[in-house]
Amino acid sequence: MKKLLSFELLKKWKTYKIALISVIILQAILMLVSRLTFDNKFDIALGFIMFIYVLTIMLMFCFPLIEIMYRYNKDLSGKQSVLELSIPIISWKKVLAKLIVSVGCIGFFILLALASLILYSAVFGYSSETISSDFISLFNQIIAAPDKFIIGLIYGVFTLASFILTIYFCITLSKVISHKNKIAVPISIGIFIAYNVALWFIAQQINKIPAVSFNLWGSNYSILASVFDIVMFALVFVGTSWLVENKIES
Amino acid sequence: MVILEVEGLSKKYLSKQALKDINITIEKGKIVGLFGPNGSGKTTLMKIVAGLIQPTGGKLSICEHNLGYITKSLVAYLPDSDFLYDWMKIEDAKKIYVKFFDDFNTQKFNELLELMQLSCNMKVKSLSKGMKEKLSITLTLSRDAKLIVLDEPLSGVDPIAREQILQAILKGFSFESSMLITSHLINEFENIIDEVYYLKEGQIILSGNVEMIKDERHKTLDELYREVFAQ
Repeated sequence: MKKLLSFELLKKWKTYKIALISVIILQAILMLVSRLTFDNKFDIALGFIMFIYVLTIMLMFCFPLIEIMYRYNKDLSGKQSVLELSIPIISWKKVLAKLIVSVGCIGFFILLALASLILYSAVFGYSSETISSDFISLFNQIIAAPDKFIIGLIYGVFTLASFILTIYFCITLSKVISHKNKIAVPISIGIFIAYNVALWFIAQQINKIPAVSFNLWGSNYSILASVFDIVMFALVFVGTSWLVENKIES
Repeated sequence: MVILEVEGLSKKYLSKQALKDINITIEKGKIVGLFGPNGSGKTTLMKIVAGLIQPTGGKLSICEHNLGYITKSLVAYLPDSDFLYDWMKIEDAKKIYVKFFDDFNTQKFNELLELMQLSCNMKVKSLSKGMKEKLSITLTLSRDAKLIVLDEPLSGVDPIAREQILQAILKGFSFESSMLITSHLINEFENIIDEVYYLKEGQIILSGNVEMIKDERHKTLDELYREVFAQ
């Protein structure tokens, strides 16, 4: 598992390296230009710079997601799939390693995007003292209710992992049906839509059943719905692993 | 000891029968040639042996293990196309093989790399087709695998590189393992293979010990190929 994780990380780093460095350099330039030109009033040029900066932040959210889909697709049917599928390790471990690294990468990019936002707001006089006090206030909230924070974090990671796993499942199933990208891509989109519609319908039915619920940061969550989410996650994981092991052909 | 045992193997793609009733036995220490025209099912069979394709029917075992992730650790497979990432340096490819294949022999790799006139700091992206082929074969032969499967190891390479690859095959072969080779350049392999299988439209139409076949028919393997497939 450790070997698979390091291999997946290496692949991600090789893909992200240039894009990541480019975005950071671009953001640094934009921040510098903003700092030099900003004199307590906004104009069109500054607005344009801000727009570009926001675009780079959005790119940080979108890029890893697109890369995850592209990379998984290539791992199953690209020219390197021979190497990927020849690795003598059982498929569920391969799927799990890809999932862990993908969740980690998205988490990293979310943190990076937040850091970019905070840094840029500092350029416009949002003083470091204010930022520090905001952080202290957030930290105090976490200290006051660490259990809620941990549950919230687990819930967030689980939701993200479920989403990525669903994408993996749809791509895998479409590759089983057809190896040709022209056919496989619309099939995987179709499966994704059908799967989510079915999930939404079942969730609606579950919500009608009176069950114990819990409150997390102001929202109510049903225990039954949470159990259903976990069962679905397990089923999709087993299904994806089985398809990769027995049905994917290079 | 039997390394590879294939019994009644078949593979069907929708309506197309790619392989039909294939029976092959490869014993330890043997080099086996698999010859046939394009589309005869050679690569399909090789990929099934490597665990990259699932057969539709029949049985296949490698060192008495049924097809699965365990047999992948027993087979070193050279595909007929480029399979390494462009961002890799030869050193990276070596590290990945060391990481995932317990039978990877680093010393053998270094010797073969020298024979192929390649160096660890070369980037895969900058290698020519022939150099990529030499690197792929170096990686494959550096594994002390029970079964080495080479799909068209001489395709698209110049005569000098061809000579280097043939030397590497002989240098990399151990009598503790077996080798299955497919190629259209039959003359190049005539002197190194022990057994031969001729494949036509997914079926084995001729097979046996090379020396016996040559003695019986008074023909070279290449002449025999032309006779069998010209019909």
